[in-house]
Amino acid sequence: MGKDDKELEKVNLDTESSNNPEADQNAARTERVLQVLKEDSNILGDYIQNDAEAKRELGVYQQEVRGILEGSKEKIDAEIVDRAQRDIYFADEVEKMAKGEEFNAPALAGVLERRMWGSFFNNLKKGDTVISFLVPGADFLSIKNLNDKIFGPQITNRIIEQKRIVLEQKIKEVDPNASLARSDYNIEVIQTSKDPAVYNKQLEKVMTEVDREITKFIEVIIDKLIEKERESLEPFIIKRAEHQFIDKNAKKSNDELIKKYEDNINKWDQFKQELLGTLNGKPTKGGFRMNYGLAVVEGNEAKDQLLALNHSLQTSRVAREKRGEIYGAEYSENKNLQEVENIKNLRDEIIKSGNKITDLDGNEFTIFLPVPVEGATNRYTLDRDLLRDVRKGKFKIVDKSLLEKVVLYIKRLNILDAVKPFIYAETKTVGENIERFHELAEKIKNQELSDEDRQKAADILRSDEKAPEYTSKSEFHKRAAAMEDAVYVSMDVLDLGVDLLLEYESALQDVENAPSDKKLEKFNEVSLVAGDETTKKLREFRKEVVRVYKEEFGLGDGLVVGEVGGDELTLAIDIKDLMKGEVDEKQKEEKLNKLLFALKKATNTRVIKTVVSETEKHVSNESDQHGRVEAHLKAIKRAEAGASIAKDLEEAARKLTRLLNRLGKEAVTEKLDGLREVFMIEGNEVKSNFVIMDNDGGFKIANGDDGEFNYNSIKKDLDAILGKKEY
Amino acid sequence: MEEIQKEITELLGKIVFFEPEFKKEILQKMPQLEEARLYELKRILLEVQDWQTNFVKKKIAADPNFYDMIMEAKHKADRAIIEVYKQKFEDEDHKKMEIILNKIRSL
Repeated sequence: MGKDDKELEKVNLDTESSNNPEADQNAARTERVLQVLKEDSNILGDYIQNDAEAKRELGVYQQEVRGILEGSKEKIDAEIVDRAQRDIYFADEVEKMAKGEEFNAPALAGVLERRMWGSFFNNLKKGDTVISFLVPGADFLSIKNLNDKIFGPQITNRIIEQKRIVLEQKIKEVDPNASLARSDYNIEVIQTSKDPAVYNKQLEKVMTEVDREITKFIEVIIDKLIEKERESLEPFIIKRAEHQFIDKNAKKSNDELIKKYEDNINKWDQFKQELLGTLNGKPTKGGFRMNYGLAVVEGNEAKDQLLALNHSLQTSRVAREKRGEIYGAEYSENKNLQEVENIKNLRDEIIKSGNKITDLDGNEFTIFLPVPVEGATNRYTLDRDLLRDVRKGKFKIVDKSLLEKVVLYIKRLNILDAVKPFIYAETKTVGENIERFHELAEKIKNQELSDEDRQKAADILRSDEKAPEYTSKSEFHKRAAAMEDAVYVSMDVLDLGVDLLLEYESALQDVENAPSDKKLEKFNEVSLVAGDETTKKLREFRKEVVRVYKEEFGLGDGLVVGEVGGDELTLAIDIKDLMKGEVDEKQKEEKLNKLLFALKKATNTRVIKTVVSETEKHVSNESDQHGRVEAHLKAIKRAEAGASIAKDLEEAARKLTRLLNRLGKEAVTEKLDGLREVFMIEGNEVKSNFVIMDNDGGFKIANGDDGEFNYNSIKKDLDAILGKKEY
Repeated sequence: MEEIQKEITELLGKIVFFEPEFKKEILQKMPQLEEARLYELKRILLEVQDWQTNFVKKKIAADPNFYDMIMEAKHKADRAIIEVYKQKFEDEDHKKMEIILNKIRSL
């Protein structure tokens, strides 16, 4: 180090007096380094390139800047582009492994080990303790709300990451041997060999600290966002105050900008108040209250491991719905059975109070419908339409007290909510597969792969965990982004959440109706298979899509290029593959139309209904990877927007059906207007058969009879029916 | 608008982790941006500036050799420049000497 540098350090230390000389020295050195790099950034060399985290974070900023320079209205969040590029990087590493080249062994081995909850099932033994932590149940803290409305994906990911870090850190302070078996936004699962009694009082303290730290973390983020937004707002406020406008349009633009900034500030301010429990001046508990449930593994079989996981989750869910002072508890058979009893009592209370609820449109619903079952006592099921609207927060009513009871009933049904990506009957096969994945992962880590192993591992990693006929997410992004001309088809299975809850409701009534001494056994039995019927429906849907894709249209070669979500599926189809080489625009439209309706027909059954929408993407072969990935993600986003329009149309059909049953055919015909070609009245139902298609940046609706019309032309009528104004 | 463009130009000067070509691209496209986007751009660049300060601070705290490595690299670069100039002066001196010697030889 030269003499000048030491002098500079000394000067800086002299001007910044503090009680922490080390911190002062670091601050001075930071300034010095930045000054040096400003003069010659080449000095840093490959330092940033070799620091993966720094490279990624810097990349996200660069993408944000690019987004501003390009002024694109269709903006893809930089974090999402970054994630897709990391997926493609992963898929490239799988390719390298398959070819026998050097590859990122730890990354690939890690994913193999975690497949199908592998790391959880492999490490759990009799006597181990499982602790599940649930994210707060408040709607404003849901990942959808944080991602889509409040913060966007980048900040939401930081919160998710911080939650994991803080929770793991606090747990390890109690038990250094605890390990994180599973982590996503909604649920963290920790496993440990320690005696649960060790955790008893300590977990409440841990959760209090986690609550406090994460609440503070989010609060600081909000304060910074508001501060920056106010800084951005200031020049426009000044302009308005000083009347610095050339003309009316300039003033209008300025006012719009001010509104945009103020709306953001108000949104974040309100969110912060909800978080701190100070909204509307009425203090509530507030905070980022995660709930926990603790259970012990009773045996060494997969069934015992699953039961322990279920018990821990059920306990945390009960604690969440209780909204009491404590954050969670240890699993108790009695408490679970008591909860089943509570659910029954709540249902009985609602039935006794009249069992009817009327929305603002005047539609009356019978809340619980009797289910005739041979030899059984009374069984009931929630009205499907009511359940759907209440779940989505769309049920509007004046007197909310009855609605709150229905909401609570629905939330309590989630006690059976399962997380396993397979059905219970497959447990043995899944266990064998997990063993296989684990062995391959070890071979990867120890660099002991044979050629056959390489192909096996690559095949596994390229295919989706839940639906192995489809590509994995990373493989989907890699293959789809590489297509120059592609069609994206977005398909959503309707009412999957509704079906799941009805399945839970039925299962819980099986427990209610079991003899007293068999109730616990029945509860455990239903909890192991909870969700399996809905999983089977989803598999049937995905199987039909594969059949249409491969057998009816001869598409693809090997895996279906698709991204498998929960109830969504997005396909990417190379136009050359669709047209088998020759691309005539008219023929392409016809073929596409046939494909979409074939998919709709195959997947719309008595038990499943789907919506189908499509967009197109065209990139030049000179585009760089960043450009290709952005175009790919934009096409997906637009296909999802199309699916959203399709869901609106389905919802309109349901509302029109209710109107039909309440006021008759004439009332419906009056409302149909521009939607006559989309909907038809059949008996006591209003039905529809349509797909949504790309239309040069907009959307068109194609019905099954070769009719097509622009979405914008029917939007107003559709909005009117959807209750955006009353009718 | 000129004021904020000036601020953005100054910020870009302080941001050391963007490639020179990227900074050039920003400066070229900046005049075409509407006011709201300029403010948005400034906001992001301020964040990048914060990020780079925190990055360097963390590196210095975590890696004892980082600071010395940067300073050593700087001195090496300075020495290299000095050597180039020294060589240049020596070459020029050598040329002058050659001219004088040639003149003497010719006498």
